[in-house]
Amino acid sequence: MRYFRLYVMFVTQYLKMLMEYKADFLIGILGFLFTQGSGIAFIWLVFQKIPHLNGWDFHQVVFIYGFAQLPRGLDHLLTDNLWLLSGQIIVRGEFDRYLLRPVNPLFQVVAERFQFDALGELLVGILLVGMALPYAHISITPFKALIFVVVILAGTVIYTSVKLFFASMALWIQFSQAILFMNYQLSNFAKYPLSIYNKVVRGILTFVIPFGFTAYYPAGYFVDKVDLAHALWGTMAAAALSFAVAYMTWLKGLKSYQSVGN
Amino acid sequence: MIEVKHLTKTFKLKKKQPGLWGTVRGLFSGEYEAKCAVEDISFAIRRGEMVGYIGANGAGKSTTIKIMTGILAPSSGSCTVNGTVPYENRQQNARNIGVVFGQRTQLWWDLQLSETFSILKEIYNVPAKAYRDTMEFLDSVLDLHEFMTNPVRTLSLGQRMRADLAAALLHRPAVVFLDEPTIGLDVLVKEKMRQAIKEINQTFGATVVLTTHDLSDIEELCPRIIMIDHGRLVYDGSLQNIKDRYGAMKMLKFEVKEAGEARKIRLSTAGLAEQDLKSWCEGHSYFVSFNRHKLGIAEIVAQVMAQAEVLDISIAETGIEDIVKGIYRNELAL
Amino acid sequence: MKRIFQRFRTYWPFAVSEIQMVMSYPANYLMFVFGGIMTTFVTYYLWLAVFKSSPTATLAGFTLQQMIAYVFVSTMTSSLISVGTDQKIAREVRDGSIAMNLIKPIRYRIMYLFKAIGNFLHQFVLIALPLLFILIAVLHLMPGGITAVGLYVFSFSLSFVIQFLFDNLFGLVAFFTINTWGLSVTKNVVVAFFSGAVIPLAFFPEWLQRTLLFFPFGSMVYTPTMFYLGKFAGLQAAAAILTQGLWVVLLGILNHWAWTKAVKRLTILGG
Repeated sequence: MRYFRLYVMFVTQYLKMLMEYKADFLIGILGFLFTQGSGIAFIWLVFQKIPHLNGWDFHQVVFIYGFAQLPRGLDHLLTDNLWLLSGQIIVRGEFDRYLLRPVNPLFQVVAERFQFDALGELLVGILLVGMALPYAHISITPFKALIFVVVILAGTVIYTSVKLFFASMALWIQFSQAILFMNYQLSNFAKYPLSIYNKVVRGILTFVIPFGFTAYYPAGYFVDKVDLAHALWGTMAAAALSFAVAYMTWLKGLKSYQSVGN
Repeated sequence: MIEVKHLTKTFKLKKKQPGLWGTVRGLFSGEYEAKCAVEDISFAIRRGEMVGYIGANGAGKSTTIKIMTGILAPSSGSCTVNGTVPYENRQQNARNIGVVFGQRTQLWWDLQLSETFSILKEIYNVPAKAYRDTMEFLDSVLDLHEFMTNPVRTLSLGQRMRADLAAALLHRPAVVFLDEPTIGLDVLVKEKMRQAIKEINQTFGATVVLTTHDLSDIEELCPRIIMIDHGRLVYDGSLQNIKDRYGAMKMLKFEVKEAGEARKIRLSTAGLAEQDLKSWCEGHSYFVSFNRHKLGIAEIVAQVMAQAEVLDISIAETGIEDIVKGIYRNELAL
Repeated sequence: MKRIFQRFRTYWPFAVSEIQMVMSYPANYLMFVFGGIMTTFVTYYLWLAVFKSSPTATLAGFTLQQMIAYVFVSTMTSSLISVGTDQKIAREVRDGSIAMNLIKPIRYRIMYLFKAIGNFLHQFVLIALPLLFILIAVLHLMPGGITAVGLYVFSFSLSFVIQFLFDNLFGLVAFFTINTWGLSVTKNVVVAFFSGAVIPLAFFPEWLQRTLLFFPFGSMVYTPTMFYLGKFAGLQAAAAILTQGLWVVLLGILNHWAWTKAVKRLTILGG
């Protein structure tokens, strides 16, 4: 309850700042809009020349592309401070202050920052999914809507876990942003059907850094390319497993944390 | 209130190898070297005491503070603060303590100062009434209202430090750790900080542990000092005691006409302990540091004048600053 | 000649310091680089799938082999020319340190040119050489032969200057907004897309290709890459080089004008 109140307080503060810097906020959103817009333009240009991509038609590809933005954007919105944790909080010796307060340090790190720029990602995602729905032969039932929400949330957990895992490494090596960045970039593979990649890439995205479960497997279910079991239980399992690994790493890192500087 | 027993902290530092290949190898190799930051330190601090914790840079002060605040766990030995083992029950300990690290702020950089306090109120679960009273008190000693609505990043160093101190005290902690709380401040703000620390100690009955490089802080605030050097405890006792022992020291400086003459001067040291009489020369200057209870000025002057042509003489009192520096440099033994 | 040499000696340390900066943490640097070009591999697989799904063997005049060469060479080109000059200048404007640099007895933009060269050099060694090795020695993808490579190098150097001038101009937007990050992202995306770093401009509809002639983007990545592929010859090649040269002049003039204004504004506002 206290945590909830605290969280609300932080959000309110950030909203206030947002109002103060409206132009900058819009520019930030613009950045994301353009990034995703260029991706879609690319797909569109390519589909001018071919009828389908590995059996996926244009709207289905747009659907998976848009779907991929949703967990990514949600995670981005909520846990962006993990990037700073990996890159500067520990290096600059600012981590100690979280340990001096009687509140869970991970909660403090995460709650401290909201990346409202991510609304650009979410917006693109919602737009694309909305646009693709009528054309991609997706029937909307309450059951499917429920699954949709669940897998999006699970996908968000996967993103957060990957970030937490690599950001936690900073507790040992101080700066882990490079390795986090490299692995986070793997998520770019998830925007397209995994079937276009070779076995190694598919294996990595399924079993090592499970970004495949943030888009291809769950989104594939809605366009009848993946069965329900893989889409739902696979995604849930991937989310649970990666979060367990990431959180354990975080806890272990906290134990062996050696504060820097004086 | 605080009990520290045989505290030792060894850091494992990864061996850094030069070159690209060295860095790649460093990622996988498990080669460490151990660095001992604190070794076998013991002391106890009673409720309501104000203690100066001093030592040169890298002596291990911050490491000890970090263990007492729960940020670090010791390699061996133990430590309890208000009955809690800080590194085992970090969050519980955090409720009992307030900490100021002068070098870096604990406030939220982008938020208004007043918002910082509302968030801290929530974090520490401070009841509304207590919050109002404490804020009123803190404002009266630290004049926070002057910049209460400014974003933290726009505060001057002095304002920020006052705000940091207030933030550390909002939940009325039983123990307050102040690590360099006056660093970089001008004389007036320093004075204000000291006043505030004094009042907190008196009004809240808070135990205060203060580390600082500015020994006038210590002189004004702390009747007791604990001194460490190279990770070891070298002194634990009253400040007065040190002053009595070394405050008796005076220093004489002679300007001698010929540098060569200065080097040849020898004083008779018959019947004197080594620390009671010391002499050295720098170019044309000849220095004598001596215990005025054991030796008269006239006698020294006479001896020197007999051996060299003296142009000028000056006398200096030894301050606490010099004494402590002397101890760091192993010139004075405790 | 002697003066040029002296100039060079004055500014060369700026290039060296950029190299040293990334070399102090080589492992981190390589991971950033590798993460950055990861999207290239996504694109590579995408094109494999696209050609497999295509009813024709060529798309917009590209064979699969040419397309793969295009993907790698365009990535290499765009990462070699984008050295972040705009962000560095923006940062200086924002924190006010630009004033300190403007009063030093050095030419601000020449200093940045040398920094850009430093960045180019280490990227060349760490990114371009391995990529070229894979391309030429492993995949044997040098469709235009050695002449084409020579033309590529020449066209590339013009690209480098164009992007540098463009970034210089863009660095000045920090005078107008704090969120230069968002703006930089936007700019990078727009430049990447319209310069041909994402997809060959030949895939664009006719009208868009014509419109883009009025922008410098195509001269940044598309032109040199097409030279590498040996797709520009004769009159077309001459026109392409001429266009690049024109952009160098145009952006140079624009730069001079904007910077004179900016410096004036800076001295009035006092940084």
